[in-house]
Parts: sequence; structure tokens; C-alpha cells
Amino acid sequence: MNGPVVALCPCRPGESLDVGPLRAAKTVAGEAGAPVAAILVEAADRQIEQARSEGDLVVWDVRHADLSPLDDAERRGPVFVEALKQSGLGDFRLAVLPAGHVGAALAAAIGKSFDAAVLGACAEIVLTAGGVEARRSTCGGRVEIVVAADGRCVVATRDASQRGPSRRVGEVRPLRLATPLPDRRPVERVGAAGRDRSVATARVVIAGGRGIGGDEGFDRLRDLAGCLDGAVGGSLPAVDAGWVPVSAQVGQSGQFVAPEVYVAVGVSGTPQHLAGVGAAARIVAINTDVDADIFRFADVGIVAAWRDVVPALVRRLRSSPEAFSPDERDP
Amino acid sequence: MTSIRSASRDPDDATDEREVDFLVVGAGLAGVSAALAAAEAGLRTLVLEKQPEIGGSSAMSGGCLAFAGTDIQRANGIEDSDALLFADLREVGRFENDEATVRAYVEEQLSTYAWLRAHGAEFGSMVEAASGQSAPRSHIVDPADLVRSLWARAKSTGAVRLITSARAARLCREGGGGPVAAVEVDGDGRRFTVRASRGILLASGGFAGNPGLVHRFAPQYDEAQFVCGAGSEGDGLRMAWSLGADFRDTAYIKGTYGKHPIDETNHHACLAVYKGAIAVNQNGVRYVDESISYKLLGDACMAQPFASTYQILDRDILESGDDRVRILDFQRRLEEGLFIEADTLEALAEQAEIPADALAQTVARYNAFVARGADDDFGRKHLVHNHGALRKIERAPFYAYPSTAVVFGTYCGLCVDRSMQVLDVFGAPIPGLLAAGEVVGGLHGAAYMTGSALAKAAIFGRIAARTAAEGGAR
Amino acid sequence: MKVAVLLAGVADPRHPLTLRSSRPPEIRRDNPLVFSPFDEAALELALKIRDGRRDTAITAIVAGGAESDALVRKAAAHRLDSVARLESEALAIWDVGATAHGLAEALRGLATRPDLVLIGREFGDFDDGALAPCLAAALGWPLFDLAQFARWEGDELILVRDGRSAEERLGLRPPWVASVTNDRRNRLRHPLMKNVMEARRRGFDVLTVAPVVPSATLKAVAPARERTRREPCRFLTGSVENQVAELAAYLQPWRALR
Repeated sequence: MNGPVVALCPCRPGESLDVGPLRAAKTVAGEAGAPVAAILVEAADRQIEQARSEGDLVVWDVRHADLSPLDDAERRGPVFVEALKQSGLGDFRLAVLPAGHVGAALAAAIGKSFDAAVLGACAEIVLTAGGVEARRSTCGGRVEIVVAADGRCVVATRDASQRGPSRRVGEVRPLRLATPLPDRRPVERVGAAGRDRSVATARVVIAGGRGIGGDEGFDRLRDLAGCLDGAVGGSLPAVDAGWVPVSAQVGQSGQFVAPEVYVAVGVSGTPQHLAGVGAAARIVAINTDVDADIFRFADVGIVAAWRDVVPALVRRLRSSPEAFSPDERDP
Repeated sequence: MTSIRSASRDPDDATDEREVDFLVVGAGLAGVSAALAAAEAGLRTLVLEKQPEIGGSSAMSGGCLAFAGTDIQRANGIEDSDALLFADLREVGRFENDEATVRAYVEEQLSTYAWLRAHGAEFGSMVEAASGQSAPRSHIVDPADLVRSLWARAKSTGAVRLITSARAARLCREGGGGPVAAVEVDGDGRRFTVRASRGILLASGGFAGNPGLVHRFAPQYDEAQFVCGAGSEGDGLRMAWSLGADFRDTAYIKGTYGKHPIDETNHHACLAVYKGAIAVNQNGVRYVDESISYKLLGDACMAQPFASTYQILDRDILESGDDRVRILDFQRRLEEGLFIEADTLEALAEQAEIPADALAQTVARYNAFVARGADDDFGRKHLVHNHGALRKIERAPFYAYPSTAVVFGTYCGLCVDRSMQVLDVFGAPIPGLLAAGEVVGGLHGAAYMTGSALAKAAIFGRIAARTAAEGGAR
Repeated sequence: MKVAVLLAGVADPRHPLTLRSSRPPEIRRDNPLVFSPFDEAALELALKIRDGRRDTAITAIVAGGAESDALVRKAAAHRLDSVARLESEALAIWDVGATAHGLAEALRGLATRPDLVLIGREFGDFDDGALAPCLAAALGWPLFDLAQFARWEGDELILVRDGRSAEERLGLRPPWVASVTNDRRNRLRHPLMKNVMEARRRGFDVLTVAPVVPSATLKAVAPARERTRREPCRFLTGSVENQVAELAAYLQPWRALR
């Protein structure tokens, strides 16, 4: 098979592009010398430019006459399917989507239309003679499996790699579609989402532990969550102390959370607590104790008292001029 | 019977730990106390623990130790004494317990308290009155912390070793019927033998974790909940039985009423009945005087359909709970969704699948008894024992707490003499074999004084170590 | 309303995982099983729907081998209208396509078509969220993702989730598939002891579906590399002010929209 590797990028107006699928597609293709394309649906100029600047790929700027920004995967899936067909990319070897429920919904649509194998959220994706091989985490992060499939494949990725070198900027090709789409779903949107966001579905979770010391500290964590489109959770000692409602307890005996970023403040990092944190979350730890277990699992660490860090961080995030968010909800 | 003459030492074993002075089976409070006391007396000691961690049932307990005449009691203005403690223990046990065993406890209790304090045990500054105590004498500790800190002290002597995930499988006597001098151990995927020259102590706990064995003695508790260390499977009892050891008090295995039958996160019982709730069965009918001991309530509950009943209460009773007391922390359990809640008794009955008219009738009849001051059905006079005036169940919302009995320990076990040497079925000591902690029978008798099980672990552990050190075990 | 709940169960996270075999059904057999938080949320959502309308009929299907019988009884203890175990050997549970196909077959085989299929947002130990959309695609039914709550408004059932900027509600016109995520409002209630005991006595059907050729093969199964980062934690350095600035830059992509 010589087909291309295609990154599928759902876009949201006013946000920066999630370049994860694109970089993953380039990495996979690069090793096998396969051509790379990206399909961006309803992208803003700036998002197109972002994709193009990744280099060495064809960027398909796809628009559909009947698509609105609030349309969900039910109507976006067919647009991607049609785009793959009309762009001549229908013989793709591998389609790469962002991990998460939107990516999963699009993967299902593409899998069905192209009779492609849906492999889930994978890492270490490689092209084989007849298809794809990839590694996936299972059993609550305790077992890793390697799956292989022949023919067309669809994977999701949480690639967070840096931009690789490229020889030339990408070429942009517009594609205008007007194929009929399924009826809009009768989903009604009402008011604002709950004031205390659920930790279970939040993209960013700010978790406080025993080290926070009291209610006042949790108010500061809520400030931080507000800056970050996040929700506040707590470890068991924090819930025991009454600083956090039991519904926001993260850990084995509480909620399982799968955010993109987990900011652990004054949390020691017991296995019971970390069992409630999805393996894909990037962990940021702030703790006074350099020997705290949490630093063994953290991507980024600050050894300092939260009082010296959190309020200053809130001030800085509030004062910086521009905010873009690669949100994946409601593409 | 295995003879140790045929058992050879493992040639690969370069350490000395397979040949010790004193061998302790089980690393709960009894085993750890014994190990520390033995090390202090100069014995090279090895502790075997079947689980990967030390602590056993002790670490999961409520953390009450019954001592009498302590400085904490004096600071709280409480008068207590050996004599009062002895009288209480005998009386609570309805004189079914063994006088010599009770005396051994009483004689060593205050020195054991001092010894624990000297080794860093941190008791709360208050003492609580609880079941069977004429004077408040429940001294409160963090039990897991107590075991850990005593173990740390024992380890620091340099004379004590611990092997975890190692199960004692068989006791071996020297020659034909000589002293018990070795233990065959399963650990590390193989069986090996440890010899002990001064005595072997069974501190292996009870058997609440062995449903088959519980069924043999207390089949009425088949459907009860069991909360105990995972290793409490009666290993020590069976090893001793195989050498002819006698045992006692099995008729008095009892559960505590008030455990939610499904919830696995709260180990402790909830006793809304002691604040004025009534207990009804699945048919919506009362079946007991709710003010009696929670152990007797446990027996009564097990005789009901599905071995599960409901404590029925109203808002006033719920609000009279006390979140600082484990058995009365209603608000916390409400937040955890353990109470069934409804605005009317009919709606409550529907959720609990109790016949609605039966429940309404039961509550109305009970409220009339309260108004009149006489419970014609079961003679209940107080909230608990001789304390508190009964109250009506009348202000919405209404609550039902599903309740069964929970067995925390088996309270029965091996017959021992006052030096903790195990006695055989003819009353003769089995040389070389000692017992301490929950595996020992004869202290509690027919009922149980709060704090006597955990204190007994430390007290009897120390006595057993002293017996070994003084050469009395052989 | 006829509701079908699909349940999988996971190896109990409170116990260390035993990994003696490279076959998923055997891995499942070697470990104590519990319902996952998402299984529980899906089941509770069904019970909430029944609370609101007593004529709701709930069918639960637990995918697994004989080791899953305790889970089937656990579900049955909620006094469901029917419970069954779906023999999972044919589902090739590591393969999303095969599993979705098998579950869809099992649902088509039910005596009456469900109006609503509830499934946890992750289905068992080998799904990471890809399955629910594939199941909807296999059935040809629409999917409501990450449902958190359900309530009746008159005769209409409303499914609810927190969207990014608003609460999102779906007035249900059957048939639908809804994936369910855990939420304070759908924490699984405790069954009554009476029904637990009745469930123990009651039998249940074991369903089978014809195996399909999986679209993917399982090449290797191994314990996860320890969850320490492959690269050690990057400690920020310099003055606290510098560290805060660097952290703010790191968190920039997750800034809230104004």
C-alpha cells in the first residue's frame, strides 16, 4: 500500500489548531516515506496557516455549505468522509484523529464508511507492509497491548511532540462541499454549565491536597481553575477535611478523571490518588517537599509553597493578552 | 506429625534467621508487642507475616484499649481500678470467661499501658465510656500507627527480623512428642523450616476471614458481613488443633448490629437506634427492644428475613447524631447516600420495598407507646441501656438505614494458662507453644467489653514474650 | 420506555493486576472484577429513568465469560426486568470493530428493540472510549455522548450533559445510544439485601453471537512500563517569579475563553 497518511483536524473558531494529529501523521509517514495530508474542516485562516507551517504536507481547506459551528460529530463525520473521497485521499493507509470523544466519534464514522480498522488512542504508531501497528494502554493503565491491522486504519493520538524539521511549507488546496448532511439533532443548549464544573469531564483539573491547609487555599485554586477552563478537585485528606465536596474527590475511592492537564497542588501523590488520574494526563506538581511521590509522576514540577505560586500564576494568566484554547468539545 | 530431625537447614540460607530463639507467627499488635518485648529481653526473634504488610485486624480496629487506673483517667477525674476492671470483665462475660485468663489481663494491664506509652504510643487525652465499662476506660489510639511504631522500635533493637508474605503452615515437635521447636513456612514460592529454641508464639489472629470455619460454629452468621485483616483465616488455631490444643467460647461468636449490608467503604456500624430509631424487618415489623447491646441486636437481626433490617428514623433523630462518634455519624452517611430518604413513610416504604401500610402501622403504634411511656411489644424503656428518653418518629423527612450484623473478630480461641502457654484438651501445657491476641479464648466469655480485644493483644503478647525469655515455654 | 444497559466490568483497581496470560479473556478470568465507574453510571442512569416512569423496562447485558456471573447478579440485584450475560469470547474485546459488531448483534437479538441503549463511556478494560460511537455506527443509531443525567418532562425523556458553554439537553425520540460518564447525580445506589438474595437465586440467560473476523490482531500484551515519566520531572528553576512565568506559558493552551 502506498496511500497517504491523513491527519483529520476538527477546528473550532477562535481557537488555535490542535496540531497533535498532524505531527503524529508526519512522524508515522516520515519513517515510511508516505505522503502526508491534513484535512481541516471549517478552519480559520490562522488555523490553516498553522497547519501549513508544519511543513511537508498538503493542507485541505474544507468547507461545507450546510455546516454550522455548533454542529457535532454526527454532521461533521460525513463532511470528513466526503472530503477524503473528493480530495482523492480515499486510499489512505492511516487516518489520525485527536484523542477524546470527538475524535472517537469521527473515527467511528470513517471506520464505517471506509471499512477501516478503528484502533483507539495509540502511541508508537508505525506503518507495516500491509497496514499499521500501534501500542495502546489498557486495564486502567496497567497493561499495554500492541495491535496490528491490515488495510486502512484509524487511530487517535495525544501527540504532544515538538514541531519537526521540514523542507518546505505545506501546500493549501481548498475544497468546497455541498453534499447532503443528516438532519441536525434536537440537542438544546440551555444557560451556562454548572458553576462548579465536574472534575470528571473537565479538560484541566486543579487538585488540592492536605498541603493546601484550608478553605481559603481552595478559593485560590478555584481562581486558577477559572483562568484555565478547569475544575477543582481534591485528594482524600482534602475531602475529609471538608475543603472539597466528596463529589470532587479524585482517586480510587472517588472520581476517575481524565483531563489533559492535572495540576496537583500540595498533593503527596499516593498510588490510591493517582489511580484516579488518567494515564494520558500531563501532570504539573506544586509541592514544598522535593521528595514527594507526586514528582515521580509529574511532567513539570515546582518546589515551593502554593501561596508563593498560585496567586502569582493567577495574576499572570489573567493579565496575558490573548487566550486560545484547542478545545475539542463541540467542534 | 513432622519430625524436625528429618528437616534439614537450607544450605543456601546464609543468614541466621532460620534458627532463632523466639518465633512469632503474625504481625498484628500481639505479635509486634511480643517481638519488641522479646528483643528487649535479649531474644533473637523472627516474625512471620502471611500478608505483604504488617498490622492485620489490629490495624483495622476501632483503636480502643481498655485500661484501668491510668494517668489519662485521673486527668479526666475518672476513678478506676484493677478490682473494678476485673469485676466488669467477669460480669460482661457472664462468668463464662476463664478467671485465670481475666486475672492475667488485669494484673499486667497497667504495666502494659506504661510500656506502650514508653514506646511512643500516643493516646487521646479523653477516655470514652463504652460497652461493659463501669468507668470510662476506652483509651484511643490510631491502631495502624501503634503497630507501625512498635514495629519500628522492635526493628531498631537489631534483634528482630520480619518476613512478610510468609505463611506458617505446620508446627513441628522435637522427637515424637517433645516441645514444639520449629515451624514449616510457605513463602517465596517454597517451603522452608524455621527452628526456635525458646518458644513459638501463635499471634495469628482469629478466623473471621474464613467463612467455612465461622459457619461451623456460628451458622446463624452466614449472611453477616465480616471486617477483619485478610489473614484472619484461623491458621494458628488449626496448627494448634493438630497438636491437641483445647479451645473455648466458640458459642459466643457475635456480630455487631448496624452495618450497611452492601456498602464496602464504611467498616463501622451505625446505631441510629441508640438515638431513638426503631428497627424493622423487611415486613415492616419491629422484632426487638432496640436499646439492648449491639451484639444482641446483631443476633436478633440475623434471625430476620434476608438477615437484614432497617433502622427507621425521622429528621430530628438524624439531626441528633454526632459526626465525631463513628457509630453516630449520621450526617456523613447521609452525604454518602447510605440512608434511604423520603418525605413520607409510605414513600420510604416503597423505596425499601416494605409493605407501606405495615410500616405506617408500626411507626404509629410505636409513637403511641412513646406517648404512653410503655412499649407493650418489646418493653423498650430507653434509647440505649438505661439512658435517654424515647422519642417519636414523626417529623419528615424520614430515613431508613439498611442494617445487618458485622463480625469484626471471633473472640473465641485457644485455651492458655496465665503464662500464655497453650493447653491441650487434657489441660496440660503443650511445651514450646504460646499464644496471644485474638487466637486466645477465655478472656471475653459470653460478651465483649469495648477495648478488651486490642488491649489483650498487647498485654498477652508481652506476657508470652516474658514466658519465652524466662525459659518457661519449654 | 425500554432501556438496555451494556456492562463490562474491569479488573478491580484496588488489587494488583495479575498478568499470567496474553489472552484478554484469561486476563479477565485471573483478576477480581468490579463494575467500572462508567458501568455504574450507565446502570444508575437506567434506574433513574425507571424511578421517573414505573413502566420503564430495563435489560442489562454483561459482556464476559463465566467469571462475570457475579457481576450479572450484581446488576440483577437492582430488580431489573431481565439480565443476561453475553459470552465475550466472540467479541475480541481488544478490537473495537468486532466488539461493536457483536454488541449490535446481541441487541438486535433481543425480543423487543430497546428505545435507548446506555453504555459507559469506556467499556471494560480494553476500550478507551472508541467503542460507544462504533456501536452506534454499527446499529445505525444516533449517539448522545457523555450523558450525565436523565429526567422526565411529561412523557419526554431528557438526557443531560454539561457542554462547554451550556447545559445540553436531548429530548429523546427513539432509538438512541447514549454513552454515560460518571457524575455526582448518577452514583450507583445500593441494592436492597432482599433483592441481592433474590438475584442470587434467579437464573439468567447466556447470549452468544457468531464470532466475526477481527479487523485487528493482538500482537503483544505486557505490563505497562512503570508510570513514572520516561523523562524525569522537569523541575522549573530560577526565581519563583521565573518559575511562575514558565508555568503560565506551559498552561497557555488551556486558557479559558473570555
